[in-house]
Amino acid sequence: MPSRLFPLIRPVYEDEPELELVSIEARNNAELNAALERQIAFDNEVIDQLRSLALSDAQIEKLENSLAEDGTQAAPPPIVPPPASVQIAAAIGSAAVAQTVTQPGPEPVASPKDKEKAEPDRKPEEEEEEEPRARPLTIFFAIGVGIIATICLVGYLVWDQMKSFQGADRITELLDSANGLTGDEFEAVQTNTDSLKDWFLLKNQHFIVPKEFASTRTIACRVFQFHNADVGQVMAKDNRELLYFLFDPADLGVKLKNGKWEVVEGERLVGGATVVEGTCFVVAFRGKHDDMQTYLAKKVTPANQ
Amino acid sequence: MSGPIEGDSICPLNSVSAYDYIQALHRLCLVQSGSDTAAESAAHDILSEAYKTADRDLASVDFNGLFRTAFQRRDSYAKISENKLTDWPRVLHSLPEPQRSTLTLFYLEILPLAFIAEIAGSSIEQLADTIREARSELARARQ
Repeated sequence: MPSRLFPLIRPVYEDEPELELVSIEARNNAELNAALERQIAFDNEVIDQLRSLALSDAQIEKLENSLAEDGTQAAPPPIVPPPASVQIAAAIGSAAVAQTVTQPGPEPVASPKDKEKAEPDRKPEEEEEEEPRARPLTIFFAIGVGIIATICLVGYLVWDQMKSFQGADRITELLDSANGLTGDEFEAVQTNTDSLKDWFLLKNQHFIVPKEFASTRTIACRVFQFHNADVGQVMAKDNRELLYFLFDPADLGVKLKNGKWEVVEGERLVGGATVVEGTCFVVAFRGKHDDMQTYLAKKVTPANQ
Repeated sequence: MSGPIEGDSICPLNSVSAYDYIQALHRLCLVQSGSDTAAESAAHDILSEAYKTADRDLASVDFNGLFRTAFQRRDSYAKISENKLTDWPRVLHSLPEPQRSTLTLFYLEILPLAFIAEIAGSSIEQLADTIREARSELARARQ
């Protein structure tokens, strides 16, 4: 007479405490053992077909996606099939019997080795998910840096605007226009700069030369058209070769404070520009910005500015 | 999403992977409903609820509990005139409840017998009786 628990005997369940004795008893009885084998064979047939019902990869992926949509905070990890041909018996603690019940499908469990392999894979993921959010102090620091950077940028733009002046580009063009001169364009006028007033008057011009440059010895002069404006140009020499430009600042759109000097750099020449009594005066020579600043510092005393 | 989740790292009670549990849950729902669509929907609902209960942490999901929920909802499926199951799964579906769900849980071989008995609300002996009767019904229905 079989035990009442006999219908529950399956290889995967035989190690469960409730079935241990019943199973041994059945195995040791030839008649019961034969009945048990028939029962197991019958069940195996049903189970094989049951296992053929499986969600496809697409369905699993769809399920994952729907879980991800449900959980807006963190997406679930992927649900992936474990290695094939492992024993489901391990799931319910029957390792010994499991050896006889190799599952046909992509069923059960990961082996300890697989678990060990899976473990390092999971750690970066967990670390990624548990990455702490930025602290308020960090956020304030970042905002502070952003504000300071903006202030610096605005300050630089204002400073850059302040150090320049309206019409500086036109004076740069004027300086560059002298690059191709041969000297033939000029009329020889050997006098001093202060006496040029008369020469310009003869040319129907009323240019004024700053008094700091009044005693400079001139070599040649001319009046030419530049952007429809009359520009006086003087070759002069003190301790270096100089080129003066004189024009009405309104004609070339130059706006400078009366008596204030500004330095403008061209391709080859550097110029120092100022406005005196309605005349824009530019002194130029070959050199750089610093050379002109040094020159003007010596030539033009602060009292004269 | 990155990195596989397998084995008892997810399911602390044993070494079955989340994948296996979900496939088994789908099989149970499929035998209960007889409809692939209904089974997929039911499995999703049950898993989604458990996932939320576990605070959206797959590792904390009570996977065994999925089958308890599925067992409790065994009569909630709409009756369908014709199911697409064939062979033994179709015969399993034809069994009356609770034999159908109990025998399917037994055949899934994913839960301990004591837990199946608890889900079915019976003792281990009563579970054995149910399995014996259901198996006989199954064999008769097949003939």
